[in-house]
Amino acid sequence: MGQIELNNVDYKYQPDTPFEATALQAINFTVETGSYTALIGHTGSGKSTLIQLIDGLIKPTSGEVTVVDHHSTATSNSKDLDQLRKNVGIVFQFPESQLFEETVLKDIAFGPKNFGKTDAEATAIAKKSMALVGLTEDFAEKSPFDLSGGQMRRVAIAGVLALEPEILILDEPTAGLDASGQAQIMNLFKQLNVEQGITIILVTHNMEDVAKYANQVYVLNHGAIVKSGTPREIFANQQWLMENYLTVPVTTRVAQKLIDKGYSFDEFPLTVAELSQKLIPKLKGEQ
Amino acid sequence: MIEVKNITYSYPNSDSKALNDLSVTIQDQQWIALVGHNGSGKSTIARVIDGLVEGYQGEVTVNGMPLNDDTVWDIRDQIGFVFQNPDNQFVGATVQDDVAFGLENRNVPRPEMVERVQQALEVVGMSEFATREPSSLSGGQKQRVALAGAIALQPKILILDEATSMLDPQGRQEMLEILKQMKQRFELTIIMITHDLSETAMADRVLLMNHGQLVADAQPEKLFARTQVIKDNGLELPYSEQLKEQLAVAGIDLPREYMNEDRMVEWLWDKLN
Repeated sequence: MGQIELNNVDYKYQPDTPFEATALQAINFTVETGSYTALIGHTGSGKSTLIQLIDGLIKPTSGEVTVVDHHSTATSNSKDLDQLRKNVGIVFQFPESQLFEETVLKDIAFGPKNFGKTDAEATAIAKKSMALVGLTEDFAEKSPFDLSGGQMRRVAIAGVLALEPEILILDEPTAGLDASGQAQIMNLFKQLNVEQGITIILVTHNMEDVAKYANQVYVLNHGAIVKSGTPREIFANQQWLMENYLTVPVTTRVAQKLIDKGYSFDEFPLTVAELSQKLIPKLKGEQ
Repeated sequence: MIEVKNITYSYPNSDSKALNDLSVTIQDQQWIALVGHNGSGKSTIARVIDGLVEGYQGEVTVNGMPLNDDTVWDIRDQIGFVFQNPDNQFVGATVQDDVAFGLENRNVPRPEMVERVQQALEVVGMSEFATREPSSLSGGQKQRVALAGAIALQPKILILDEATSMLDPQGRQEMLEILKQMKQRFELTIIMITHDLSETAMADRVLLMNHGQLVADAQPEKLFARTQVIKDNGLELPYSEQLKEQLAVAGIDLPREYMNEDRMVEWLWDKLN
């Protein structure tokens, strides 16, 4: 039994009306504690709906969602759904658009305070969260709105971490950040995964990040899970991915072009570092 | 033609200059990629051109019209602006209402409005979503609708501020193709803001910004070969240059000029045999 389990889950928008639309069907999905799972699929494939189910923002039309020890089904009430949410933190797309407090510290402390912590407790948690995302103490009294985009996103992420979730769901967490901002944020999540043991679910179109960070991948298409496996297993079949409107990391595409010309790799490279390591001895004429 | 002359601007409560004596001229029907890291000034200059910024020094002229309080609405009529986060610009209850919003504001007659909305949704591949609520769409679908809203106005100039950030790679490629076709069909000038150099290959010119100034103004392939300039200004190298860099560290001799992915593969295959 994983930390998150979806058993035969269907989700329909506006069920039993003329506008009924099936967003997810027959979903079976398992995430183990402390793992790093990537969820990929083209625009509109159902990724966001799946996240909302795990976070208890919506309940399944049929089937069962289990998060840690809490369950949600078609008959769950909002109290049951709240229980699910306790363990889950979501970093939504452009999370900085939800910042609102006068200072960074107040903004981060808002969540824990709202969940019943005293001012002192909430402040202590907020300070800890700031350290986790690499914001030094001199940011505490600044207005979040005077910060750069990357810094604002760190504040928003610290606000999610202040709820002390066991599971962190990231929905395109680096959209709109430049290359160095992206690398910093992605390294931060890896660190939280390795050092704090936080389970990560990454929803992304960035296949380079999937190759680099995930140890498990689920592929969604038209509301169904069409494939799962390690990144190397998933990216090995480029043809199949393209048929499912997905791409592969650039390295994989380049490696495939070399294979098409007649070259062979002992193991399929996923990152630029892996590819160059494999090519260097050959390019130098060493066997 | 867009002429930007000696623009200097600081955001309120900021000591640093978001734009620092920036001058640039953009010819009609050019495709401009405006690149730079977060905070380099690329979005700010786009907003200045659209008359969304007040209190700058310098002068902007759009199609011969100097930008000021009297002309701002006429100029804005010629510009379609698609923002990074589509949630910030949705107003309609349905996708088609949303796309129609700008046309309603301009008193476009209803039959024409219906046609333009349909056409715009078709161009971005969202026709089947016309009666859906914008909130039920995914991020990438919202970005397409936002683009439809801009093109329904039939602007002469289209400014896209990281408007593909939520699309999947294929959707992004499709969007670039849509833009290419639209540019030809409607004789558009395109200003596309991005920090991803791989999205700039279709541009006529890449303008690289940093510290509110222009650092480079070159054709894409010419810029891609200037790896130090790219790195010094906080951008990620194109893939083939990343690979070249790793191979060079191992002492492998490499051609200096930029190779696109296919040329890079050819070169590798040649060397491996």
